[in-house]
Amino acid sequence: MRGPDQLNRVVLVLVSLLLLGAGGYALARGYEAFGAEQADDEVLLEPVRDFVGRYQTLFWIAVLAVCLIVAYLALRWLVAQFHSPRLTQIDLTADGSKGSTQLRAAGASDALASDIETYRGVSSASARLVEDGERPEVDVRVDVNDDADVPGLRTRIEEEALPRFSRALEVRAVEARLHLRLTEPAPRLVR
Amino acid sequence: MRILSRLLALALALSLVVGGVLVAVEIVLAEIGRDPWVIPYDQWYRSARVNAWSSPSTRQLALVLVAAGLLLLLLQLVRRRPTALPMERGASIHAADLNRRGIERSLVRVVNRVDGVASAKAKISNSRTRITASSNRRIPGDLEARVTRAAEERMAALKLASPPALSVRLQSPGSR
Repeated sequence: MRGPDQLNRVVLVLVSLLLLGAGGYALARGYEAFGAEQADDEVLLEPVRDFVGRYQTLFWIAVLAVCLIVAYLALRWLVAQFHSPRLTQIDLTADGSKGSTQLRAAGASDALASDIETYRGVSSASARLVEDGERPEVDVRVDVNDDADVPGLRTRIEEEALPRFSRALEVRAVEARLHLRLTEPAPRLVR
Repeated sequence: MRILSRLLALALALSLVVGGVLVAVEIVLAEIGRDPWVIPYDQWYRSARVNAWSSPSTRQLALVLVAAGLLLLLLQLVRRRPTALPMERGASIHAADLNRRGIERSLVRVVNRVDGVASAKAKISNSRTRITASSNRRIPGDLEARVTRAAEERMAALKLASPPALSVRLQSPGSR
């Protein structure tokens, strides 16, 4: 699953279970599953009214806090629909150094993509760094011509482009996720 | 299905943001003695005091909740076709996958090149690759076997971790 799909699935399943639980309880109570007397109770139950009346200030402060938390979490969920993790800067400062060296992540990943694009059989490539640290993570998408040797191309990326990329980042190795897509075979030029 | 889920997620997230903020604002307004601003909570309160659990309006609302919950749950439980198929790991330390649609199109191109095939379709699900080839030949002979061989060779060349089982169907004037 890509992007926020997994998160969407989890949240939507939770919401559906919440709806089913609330609706199921109301239906069961309305159709006298807990007895005729309970079915004829008013929806806003007396114990609930008593509780709210007794702790009025505290109750509404708690509701306000819950609403704001839900709104904040929902906002993050909303943002996740349009945003995928991407690093903007990579820290290349050497241990014990007084200054700091920052590398623009897009520049490094663009260089990796350009490197891969020079390989025979590749029609286009893109890369983005998703995690920094000892072993940075990079997400690479490559459009491969249908007539190319796909496993061979994968090996070449892993054995040439990625080690070069690691050296540029001054790390021992990177962890890559390669997403390959077969496209139309390259047009044959006739002279 | 994936797009529908994303749209639902978008709508629900937006509703929760707006709803959460609105309720918070209404609580503050009520605290300073102002009337309801957007949410008619005074009407809802009266309705919750008047209606019983067995009243038709409460049952209808409960039915709507159950139906919405059931629909949403079924939508999430439907098994979706994979967007990509993982490639063999072998000695590699990196994970790689191949886009499903790209493989389907590649299979169609391969099958279309088999002599005797007029058109082809390929569909990959979680466990199966279905290829439907059409031929104009009245007597297709070994065409189905050649289509199967071509598709198998293509799938093998891609070195997928667990290639979905291949099933080939040939449609020819004789078989219709």
